[in-house]
Amino acid sequence: MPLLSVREATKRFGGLAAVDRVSFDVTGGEVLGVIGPNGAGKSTLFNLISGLTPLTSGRIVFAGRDLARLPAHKRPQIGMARTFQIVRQFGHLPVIDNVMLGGHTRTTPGFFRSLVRIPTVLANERRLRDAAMEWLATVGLEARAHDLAGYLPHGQQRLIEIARAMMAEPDILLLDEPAAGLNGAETAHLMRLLRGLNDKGRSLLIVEHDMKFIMQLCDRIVVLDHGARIAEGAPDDIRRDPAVIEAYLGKDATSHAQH
Amino acid sequence: MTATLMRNWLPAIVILALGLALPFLVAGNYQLRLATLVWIYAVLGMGFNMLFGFAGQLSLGQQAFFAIGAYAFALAQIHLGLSLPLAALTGLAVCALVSILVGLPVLRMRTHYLAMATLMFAMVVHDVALRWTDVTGGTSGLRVPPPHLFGDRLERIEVYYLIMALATVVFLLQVFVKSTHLGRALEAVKTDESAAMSLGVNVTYYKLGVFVLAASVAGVAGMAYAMVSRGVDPSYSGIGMVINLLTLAVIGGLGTRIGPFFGAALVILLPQFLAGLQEYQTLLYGVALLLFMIFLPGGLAGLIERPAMKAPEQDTPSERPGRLGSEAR
Amino acid sequence: MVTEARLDILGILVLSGLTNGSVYALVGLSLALTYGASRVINFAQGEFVMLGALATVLFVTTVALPMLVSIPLVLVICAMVGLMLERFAYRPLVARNAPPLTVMIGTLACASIMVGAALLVWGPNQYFVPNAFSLDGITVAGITSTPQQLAIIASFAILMLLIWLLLYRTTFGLAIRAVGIDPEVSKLMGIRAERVVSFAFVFSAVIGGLAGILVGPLLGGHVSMGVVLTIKGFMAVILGGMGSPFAAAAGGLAIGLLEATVAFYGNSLYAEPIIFGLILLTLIVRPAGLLGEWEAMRR
Repeated sequence: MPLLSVREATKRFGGLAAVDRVSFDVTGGEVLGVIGPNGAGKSTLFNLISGLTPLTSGRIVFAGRDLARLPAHKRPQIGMARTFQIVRQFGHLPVIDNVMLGGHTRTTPGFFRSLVRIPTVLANERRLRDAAMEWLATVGLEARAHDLAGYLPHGQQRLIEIARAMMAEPDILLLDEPAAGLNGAETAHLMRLLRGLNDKGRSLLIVEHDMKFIMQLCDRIVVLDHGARIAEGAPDDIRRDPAVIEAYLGKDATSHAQH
Repeated sequence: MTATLMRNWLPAIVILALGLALPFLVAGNYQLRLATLVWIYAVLGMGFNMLFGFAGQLSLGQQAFFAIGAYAFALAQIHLGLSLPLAALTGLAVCALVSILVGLPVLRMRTHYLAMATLMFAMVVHDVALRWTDVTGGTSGLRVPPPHLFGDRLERIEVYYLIMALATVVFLLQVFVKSTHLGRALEAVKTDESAAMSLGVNVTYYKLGVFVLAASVAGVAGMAYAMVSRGVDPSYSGIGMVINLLTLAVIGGLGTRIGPFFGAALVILLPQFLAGLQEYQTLLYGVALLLFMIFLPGGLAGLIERPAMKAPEQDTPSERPGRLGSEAR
Repeated sequence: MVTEARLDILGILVLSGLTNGSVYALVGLSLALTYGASRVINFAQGEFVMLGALATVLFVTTVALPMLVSIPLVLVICAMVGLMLERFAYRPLVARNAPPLTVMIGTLACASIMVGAALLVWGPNQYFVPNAFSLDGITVAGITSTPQQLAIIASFAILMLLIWLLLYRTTFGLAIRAVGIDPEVSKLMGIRAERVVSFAFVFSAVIGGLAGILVGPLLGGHVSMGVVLTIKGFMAVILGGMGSPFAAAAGGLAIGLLEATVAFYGNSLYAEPIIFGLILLTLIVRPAGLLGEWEAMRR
């Protein structure tokens, strides 16, 4: 059984289908890439999977569970975490607190219960802090734990975001353009980090513009264009797929390549 | 680490020590009453601080809960003959209940809409307090019996310490909220609701939670005020009260822990030192509020405590229109 | 006979509802107009009505100027105060990158300053505001009204038409609407957004002053009358939606009619809670107002 199964997922805004009957599976431990030109519907697809946008029609099943009625904030609990295309950092909080925020669902009682169960909350805090330090060490930022997150350079903020998402101990990590805005060294570091996560059994679902990055990292790739899936396969097959070349470079390029 | 600890707690300890010593330093009942009012306003300020400073939810209806708490407290004593602790619990319960009923629909709104709707709610409460004469006593309000605890009538100084203890408890509550997952989640709700959701924060529940908490804290302040003034009248829910509250919150420093104490002290005490100022009070509060927002947005506490309101420069989505393709929405 | 009596009641309700509703609509419309240009709710909007009413008292009663001279003077004063609000509160705050809610609290501070200043000038007394039109009853088809009442409704209708012409038939109106949709893009298109903002504040202040001149004789002039009208304006924009000045104006009329109906059939004590309840209900069903955009639900 696949870990994540997207079936005929559709999202319409007014008359326009941003995502149009897209289907694919992610099996446990797999790294799946989603690529496509600008406006292909990749971010909308991510919002559908993470629950920020409701489906117009179709089904998304995660670990055997239909997600239709599961609100976004409950998805981290069942093993799904995400990062954003534009880093979403809580700049007024120290780095460590940003990362601890990722463990929110895993450990804590609700708002009012927290006010009366003070020892539990304080114990949780210690546990979260230790876990957050570990993840910061994993991404190589333990030295910056007590700096305000907003002061860090973009590349490091990206790593904080990943550490934060990992605090939920997800089975699948959704990464929306993780390499965007990173320089060569940072991209290489990110690649090693993500490979390491995958080696420990996490599935990754990655939307990315950086072709080289995604071709090197992914086991399989889904290509979207105008909201619809136009191809799916191993990186080498995708690279040679005429429909994909056409979507990226236009019709001329295809005919050119065939000559 | 100890340095940080000192830095975090030293101002609070100084304030506490000053508060404990104050009854022996001031001459006469009038000064003691003023000192008591400072603690009450600080409590009111802390409620607002948690709601707006920590969670970014601007309610201009805190004075309604201040009044509701006070009226419920008075009515429970007058009509039900309840003792002080029971009447206080009644007031707290009424505030919590009303805030849930109002918060559920109102918190679906954000920013400006929330501010307008909560102020609207407060004006309705004010209107009811004025005109439902049979219950609220209309313009003249209700009298609150002198405070008794366990059969003994409380001295003024005992009332002072009781209210100071309340303020300390609310302060500790505020620190607890700010320094645990609650504070982090509220900060997330304030900064970016969809990111907060993706991290597992139940945004709706947290907003309601902090709204109810702030309303209850405002209710506590209202009850304390009624106890000290021996009465409650419609001015509790008037527009003047929200101006006082905003002025003290902004002058003290939004989002800081000790800001409400500074703000309360200034808002209560300053007019006392400037003779004949009562007439100018509305004008001066407005001017002070405006000047602080323009020139010292971190408030007084912002000068010594790291202000939570002011973010270090960073790329936020709204400032990078170039990155926001049609997809991102 | 019975039907005729009911028609009478209906007529009176509609007339008094429209009179108050017109004033609420003017406040709501000004709020929406300012919001469109500056993304700020002006909490001092109702204070301009107060200023309009009390300045009329000053010029007509105290200084004994003729009404026709007083009206322009009142409007000029309102315009100047509106400009000051924009120069000394809105602009400095925006220039320091204050978040929108802080700017909004700034306008509330201005409301407090205006009330405080008015207190010094007029004190906490209730004033009779001189009327521009007659307050004597005239009866048409069994319905009694006053020229003042009719003038309010007529002025409102004319103002609506003028604003529509301004927004949809002039280049400046196009600029206002463009700034309302996207200030950044309109800046790129060469529209001077600051001018649109200044205009919105001044224009709204003048509309507020005009409303004060018109409704003052019916409500009486008092320094604390402004906040009540600001709140009615909020009700109007929340009910109608902040999307366009006209939606907000429609909301204002609806509030006026509702108020008149509830006050007539029930106890006026219940009017405010009932209307507030209805607005909450509206928000549950349509969070952005009946005619609104969906700004309310967006960040």
